[in-house]
Amino acid sequence: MSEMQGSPAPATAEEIEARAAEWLVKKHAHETWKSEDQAELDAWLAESWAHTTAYWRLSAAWNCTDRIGALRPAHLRRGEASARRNWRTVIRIAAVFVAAVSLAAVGAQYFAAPREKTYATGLGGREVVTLSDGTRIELNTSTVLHIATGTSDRSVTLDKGEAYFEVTHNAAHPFTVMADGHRITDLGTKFLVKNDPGRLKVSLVEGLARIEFANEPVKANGNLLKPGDVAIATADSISVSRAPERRLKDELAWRRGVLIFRDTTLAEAVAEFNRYNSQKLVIADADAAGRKIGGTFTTSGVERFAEVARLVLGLQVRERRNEIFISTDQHAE
Amino acid sequence: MAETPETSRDNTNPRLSGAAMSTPDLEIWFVREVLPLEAALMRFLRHNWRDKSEIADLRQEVYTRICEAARREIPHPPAKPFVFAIARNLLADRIRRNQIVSIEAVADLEALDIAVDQPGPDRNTIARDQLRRVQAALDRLPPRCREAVVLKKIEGLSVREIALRMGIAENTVDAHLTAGVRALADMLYGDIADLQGAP
Repeated sequence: MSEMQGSPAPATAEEIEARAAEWLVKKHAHETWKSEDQAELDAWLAESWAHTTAYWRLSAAWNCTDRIGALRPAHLRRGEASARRNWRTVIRIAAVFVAAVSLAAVGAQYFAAPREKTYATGLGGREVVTLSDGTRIELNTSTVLHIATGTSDRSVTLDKGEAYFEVTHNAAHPFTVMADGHRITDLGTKFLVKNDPGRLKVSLVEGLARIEFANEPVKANGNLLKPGDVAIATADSISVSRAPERRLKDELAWRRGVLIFRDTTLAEAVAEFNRYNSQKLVIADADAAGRKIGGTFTTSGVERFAEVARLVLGLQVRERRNEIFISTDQHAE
Repeated sequence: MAETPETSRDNTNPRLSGAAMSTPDLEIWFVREVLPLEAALMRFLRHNWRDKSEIADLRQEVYTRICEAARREIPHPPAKPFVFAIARNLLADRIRRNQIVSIEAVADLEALDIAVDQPGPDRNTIARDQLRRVQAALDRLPPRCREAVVLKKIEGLSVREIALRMGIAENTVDAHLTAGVRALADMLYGDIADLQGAP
C-alpha cells in the first residue's frame, strides 16, 4: 500500500540523497537556474515522497548555515537580491581581497570560541569577531581591540581605531567597552565606537548604552545614550548630541566597504580616505579643502575619488610617489 | 510549460494532488517537528535492525510513510509518538514480510515503548544549540569541502568564483558542495551528531 505504483525502479536512499544534493547545489550555487530547471526539479520531487523528503532534509541543513552567513557583513552576502548586483560588482575586488587575506583568520574565529585575544586590523583592513555569546564586533581599518579573559566578565578594550558592536544583551553580565579612559556599558545595543587620539565618539544605532569615565564607579543614571545619540568624550568632558538617522547609516557604510559623502568638505573626505589607504591624498590649499563633494566610493577608491575631484570640481590633481595632491587651478605650477 | 514554476509542485504530481494540505506547510512541519527527531529515530532503527546497510533505506521509508500519513492532516504535536509509531509499524511489516526474522528484533520491538519514551534532545534545546551545532558541523567537514561550503554560504560566492579561488574545476566545487551538504545534514540531524557531540 505504501509502495509507489508505477514509479521508476526504486533507487536506494543513498542514490536518492545524492541526486537531491545535486539538485540543491544546482539550484542554490549556480547562477544559471531557469524556470525549466525548476519544472524539472518539481517533476523529480513529485515522483516520490522519498525524493521530496530527501530534498527537504538537505535544504534544511543547507539553510541552517544561513545563520552563520548572517553573521558576516552584508557586503559579503551576495546573490540575495538582484538590486545589490550593481554595488556588488563595484566592491567585488575589495571584497575578494579582504576575504582572501582574512579567510583563514575569519574561519578560525567562526569555528572556535575566542579566548583571551587581541584583534588587530591593518590599514584598509576590516574584520568581524563573533564572541561565544553571539556578540558581534566589526573592526574597521587600523584598529586594535583587546578581549579580556574571564568568562563572566564581558569586557573589551578598544585601544585604537573604530569598531561596530552588536551586543547580545545579558543584564546579569553587562557588556562593556573600555576606550580612551571611558567605559561604555551595553544595555541592549548596537553601537559604533571610534577612538581618535584624545577624542572618543560613540554613536548609538539601536537599544541603549551608558557612557562614563572609566575611573568613576558605575552609575545607573550615567550618560544614557538612545538611538541617534552621538557622544563625544574627551579626557575631561562628555557631550551628547543627536544625529539624523541617515548620517548614522553613512557612518556605518565602511561595514560594506564603502565611504558615503553628502555635502562633505574635501578636507573631511580626504581624511576619511587616508584612514584606509597607504596612498595618501593631500589637499594643497584652503580653497580646495573647503569644496564640497558627495558620492559613494569604495574605501580603497582613492584614484577614483581624485578623478571625481578633477572632473566634477575642476581641481588640479597631481600624483607624486605615494601621494596625490589636489589643488585649485591657481596653485598649479 | 509550467506557468508558475514556484507553486506548481502539487499540481504536477497525480499522487500528491489529493493532498488536502499544501506541500509548503507539510515541509515546514517536517523540518520543524520531524527532522529534529532523526537522531533518536536513527538510534531506534540501528538498535532494532540487524542489517545496518539497510538503515538509510528504512529511514527513507519512515519519512515516506510519515508524509503520506501527514499530508491529509498534520498530527497534533508532539510529533514523537506519531513518528515512532510509524517506525515501529514499518519494522513490524518488514519482519513479517521477510521470513528471516531476527529474534532480537522481535524482542526489542516488544520493548519499544520504553525506548520511545527515553528523553531525547527536545526541539528547544536543538533550536538554542543550533548555531553552535552548525558551527561544529562545519568544522568537522573535510578541509577542502569546508572551504567550498564556507565560500558559498558565508562569503556568498558563486561556483565559478569558488572554482577560481580554490584553483579547481567547477564540477569539483559541485562535488565538494554536494558532499558538504549531505555531511552537514547527517551531523545536524542524524545520530552522528549524537555520537560526536557527546561530551
